[in-house]
Amino acid sequence: MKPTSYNNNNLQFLTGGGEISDLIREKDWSKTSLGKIDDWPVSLRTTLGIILHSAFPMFLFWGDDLVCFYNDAFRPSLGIEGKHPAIGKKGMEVWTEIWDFIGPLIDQVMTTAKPVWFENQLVPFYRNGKMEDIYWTFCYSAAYGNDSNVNGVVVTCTETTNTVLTTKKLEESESRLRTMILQAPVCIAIFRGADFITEIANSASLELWGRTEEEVLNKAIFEAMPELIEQGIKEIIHGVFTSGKKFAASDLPVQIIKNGKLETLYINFSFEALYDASGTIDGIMCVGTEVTEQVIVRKKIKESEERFKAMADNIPNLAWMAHPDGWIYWYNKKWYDYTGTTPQQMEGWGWQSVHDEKVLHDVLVNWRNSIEIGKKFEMVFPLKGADGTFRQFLTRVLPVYDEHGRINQWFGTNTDISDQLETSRKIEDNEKKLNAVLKASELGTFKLDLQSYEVDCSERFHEIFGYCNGEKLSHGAFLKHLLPDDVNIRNNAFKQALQTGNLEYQSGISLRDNSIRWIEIKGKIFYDEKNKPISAIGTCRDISKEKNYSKELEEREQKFRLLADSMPQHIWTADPQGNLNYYNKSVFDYSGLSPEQINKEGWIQIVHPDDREKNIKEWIEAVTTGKDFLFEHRFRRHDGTYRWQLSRAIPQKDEKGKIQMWVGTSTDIQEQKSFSDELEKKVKERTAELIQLNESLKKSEERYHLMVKEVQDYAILFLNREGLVENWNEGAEKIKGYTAKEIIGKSFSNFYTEEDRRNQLPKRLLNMALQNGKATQEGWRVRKDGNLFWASVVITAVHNEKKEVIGFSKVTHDLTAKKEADDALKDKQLELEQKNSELQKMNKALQSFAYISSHDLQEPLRKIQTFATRIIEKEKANLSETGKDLFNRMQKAAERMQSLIDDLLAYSHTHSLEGDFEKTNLNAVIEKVVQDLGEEIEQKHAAVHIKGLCEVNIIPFQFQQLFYNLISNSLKFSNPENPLRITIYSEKVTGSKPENQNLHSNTNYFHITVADNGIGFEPQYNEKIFELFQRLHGRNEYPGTGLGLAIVKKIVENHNGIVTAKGEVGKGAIFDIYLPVDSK
Amino acid sequence: MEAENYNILLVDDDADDCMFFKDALDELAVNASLRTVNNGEELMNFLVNGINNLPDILFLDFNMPRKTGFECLAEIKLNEKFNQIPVIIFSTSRNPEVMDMLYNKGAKYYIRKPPTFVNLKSVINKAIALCRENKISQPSKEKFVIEP
Repeated sequence: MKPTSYNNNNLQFLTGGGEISDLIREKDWSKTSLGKIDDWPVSLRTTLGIILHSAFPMFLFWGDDLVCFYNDAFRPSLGIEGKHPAIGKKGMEVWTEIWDFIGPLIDQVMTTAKPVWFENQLVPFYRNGKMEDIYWTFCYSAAYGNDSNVNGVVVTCTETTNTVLTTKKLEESESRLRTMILQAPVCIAIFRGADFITEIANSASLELWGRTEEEVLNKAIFEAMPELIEQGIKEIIHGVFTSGKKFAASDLPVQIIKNGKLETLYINFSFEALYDASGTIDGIMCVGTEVTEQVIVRKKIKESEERFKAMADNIPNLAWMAHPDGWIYWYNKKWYDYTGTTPQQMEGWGWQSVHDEKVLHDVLVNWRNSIEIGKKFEMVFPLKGADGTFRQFLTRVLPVYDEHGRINQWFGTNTDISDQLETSRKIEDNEKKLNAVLKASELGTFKLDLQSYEVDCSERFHEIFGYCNGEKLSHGAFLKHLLPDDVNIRNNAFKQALQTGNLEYQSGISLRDNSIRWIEIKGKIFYDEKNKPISAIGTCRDISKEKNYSKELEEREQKFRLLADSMPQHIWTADPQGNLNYYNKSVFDYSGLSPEQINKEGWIQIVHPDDREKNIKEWIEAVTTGKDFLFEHRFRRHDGTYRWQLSRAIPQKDEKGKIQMWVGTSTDIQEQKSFSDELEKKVKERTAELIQLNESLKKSEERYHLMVKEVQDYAILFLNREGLVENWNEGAEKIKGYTAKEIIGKSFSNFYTEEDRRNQLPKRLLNMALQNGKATQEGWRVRKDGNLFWASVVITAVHNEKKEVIGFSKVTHDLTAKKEADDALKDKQLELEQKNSELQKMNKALQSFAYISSHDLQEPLRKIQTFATRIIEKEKANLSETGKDLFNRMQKAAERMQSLIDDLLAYSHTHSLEGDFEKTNLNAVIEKVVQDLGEEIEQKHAAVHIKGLCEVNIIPFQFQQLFYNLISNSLKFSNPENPLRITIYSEKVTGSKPENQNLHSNTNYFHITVADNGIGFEPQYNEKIFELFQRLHGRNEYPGTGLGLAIVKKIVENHNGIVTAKGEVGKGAIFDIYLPVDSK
Repeated sequence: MEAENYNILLVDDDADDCMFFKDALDELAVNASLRTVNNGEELMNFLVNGINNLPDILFLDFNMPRKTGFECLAEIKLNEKFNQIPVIIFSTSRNPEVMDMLYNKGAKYYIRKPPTFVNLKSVINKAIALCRENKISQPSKEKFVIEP
């Protein structure tokens, strides 16, 4: 075989292979693994021949390198600017980006020789200048080499990118549609098949049906909603399914079970047949909306319109309706009945035919005006009835507005008021008549509105109140005219009227000219249907004349009563039948009974039970016969005693002699009645008295003589008219020194000093006694021995039965001792005042001394002390024993001076200051002092007992000083053989306790006691120890300045209190402090 | 006892009292130097001129002619430069009202001039010790008076 010829022959498979065949032929294959075309095996040539001549896109991987071949049909799949031309390139190099996917597939086919098939597989690769998503349907199948082994893979493929994308878009649009259906606001549902399986039901449908998706979806609709079966729906839907004709209905009532109960819904809906691809009906689409609400509203409107028309036909008025422009389009039945017209005649403006021509013009003008301005129309005019007569009608037309506030129609009524007009004319007539009557009777009338309290009064009413010229009286003004005293009468009458319906009262009114008038108001209350008072209507009458008359009567009666009440007699009246109806005050005062008591149980209760029977008999006799009543009987007084009374009653008769009343009096005749008895008794008593008196007179004379004789303190003598002594007692002898014998018959002027005698004092005293009956004098008198004595003298004139002066008694009392005492007292007082002023001076001096001592005296003293200590310290060794002793004494003296100054300062500082007082617990004060003195207390083995101390209003630091002084006093004067006990306690006492004679009896005191069992002191020093610089002991025994207790006293006095001391030698001392409780 | 030298200033018009104070201080084992002025005017001059060498403690007599201790105290307390110097009032008087006034004005302690030398030493010693202990604040009212 010749290779050349073979070669030519061999290239036969490329002939007519198109563009790709040319590429294969022109390529230099010598450099590839396949080698020259001439050397290619038959199997490759054959396979390529098939591929290149196929119109179906094909690809071939051949040999170990999987060299790529493809045909013209495949070429477009590689796109522009892609892998083409890939002929002769290695498969792995050409399909780098998808080798992961196709590499294993090729391997699989090469090894198993079984084809691999994919449909619409996404295999993106590079073409058209970019990576593209490309869908393929392809098959890898084995290609055999000459040796019957698989030597390549043939790929048969078609690009399905366009198909896949189109399908995807379709699916998307379908899903959008579904979503749209599902979300549509109208109900849309699709039922499939002859069983009407629910395929889609949107949420509006589900809501309408009252079902959930699970309850209806993929179920036969009539199984899911069995209530529809009986309602003809099944027949309708079935009709559509068989005929293909659309069904539509509006306002169809359908009953559906919602929330467990059957509801009627109104629905607008349509059924439409759905066709499958073959054009047969395979389903129904249902579209619908619920119009229940609209249907109900429409129904209601219709019903209300019908009701309105029925009502309009039934009202007694004529009624009609017009368009906004006044075109009347409807009249009620009454209109036609009354006018006898037909709707055709009346329509629009046809109504003018039933009007009176005389007023028609005015009616038209008014009506057109109303239409123009949109305001209501109201007018009275006549309308002609079917019988040809005119009657008066009140016509009212109101605009009816639509929801935008525009007039959409007019509604008119015509009311027959002919009868009313007639009635009101009659009323007017009546009113005129009534007014004429009222005027004649001079009655004022009023109408009071009880809601608004507006009052409408007649002219006469105003006249009574002094209002003229049309002035109006308001209710408020009316009330102000009432006399203040009568306002209550009016208010009570009004209150009662609201309950009973009748108003009636009389009252005074004060007119504007201050004159008074009397009125009588009578009226009735009118109520509404709820029984609420709405008005009061009534009359007012001027009753001044009558009233003034009755007032006069009243005043007269008042006067009578006043008069009767002022009489001490009992006065009473009775009616003609004998019933007592008035008693004066005296009756009540006497009997102690109240008017109520007498009215209740009768006057007879006052009469003595023994007199009652006869009394009643006599009274009845008098009343029946009309004769005067005269009777003596006993009345019980308020204290239970009975006194005789003479009662007399006289009938009062009118001019005709008829008894009007009885006027009676009862006079107390107890005295007269018992006079004779009394007189006799008194004479007896007097006689007895006289006898007794005589006896006692005798006795008393005896006694007198005895007494005068015995009295020694007084000189009692009797002088005759001339002043000569007639009688002389022992006292006279004792005081004046004369015996009776010596002096009787001599003038009393002997007892007077020469000077007094010269001044004629004795004579003057006698004259004084003559004139005034008595003369008194104090003065010096002379005894027989010539000594003077101070006498108090009383000279009394003595008269006989004829009242002639027969002499004088003279009583002289020796007051010499008293006079001396008085004089001494006066001297003492003077002395005291002097002492006081001295004391004050001393105090002042002390204070200035204290001031000086606080500053200037202290300085040198302190220095003396300091120098002394310096000397003792430094020069002790140089001093002799005597020197030391003297030094010691000097220091002691200086120390004493120091304490003196300190105490004086304390004393002078003890003045009270208002603000320093405060409520202080004495316990606390004393504790502080005990603490300060602790060392000394311990030294002396002393015990301080405190009990019952309380809070007191004091100056604290002064009391601290006080207790300090008292306790240190006790410590100082303690008995060395006896352990010291100091007891301090307090109690509340009243000043009236006898032991506290210096206290005010009506003040309460705190009594604070400080007692010790020390050496005590003699009782005579009780007061002295409080004096300044007073010391009871030598300085060497007990040191001290003598100021401590003076300070105590001053502090207590500062607190308005009192301090006293009681001492007993060897037993102890007690200090009592009294502070007023309200001490300030 | 203390290494620190204590600057003491005494203001007193009374020569005897000045002597007592000096003697007392000498006998006390206190490392202190004493300077003395005799009235209020001198005191103020001393303080103003010796501003760099102010005393650590000032003993001030209350009763002085021309310018009393109270006036000096008020003046010292008004001056920011030396109102921190502790002022101890030194006086014969024991008038509570005066003592209240001084305490309220800011005096640190109050000493009543004692009648014995022993007590004088005692109070000066206590005053110095107290001021060393408490350099700034005023003591409570109960501790105002230094007792021997």
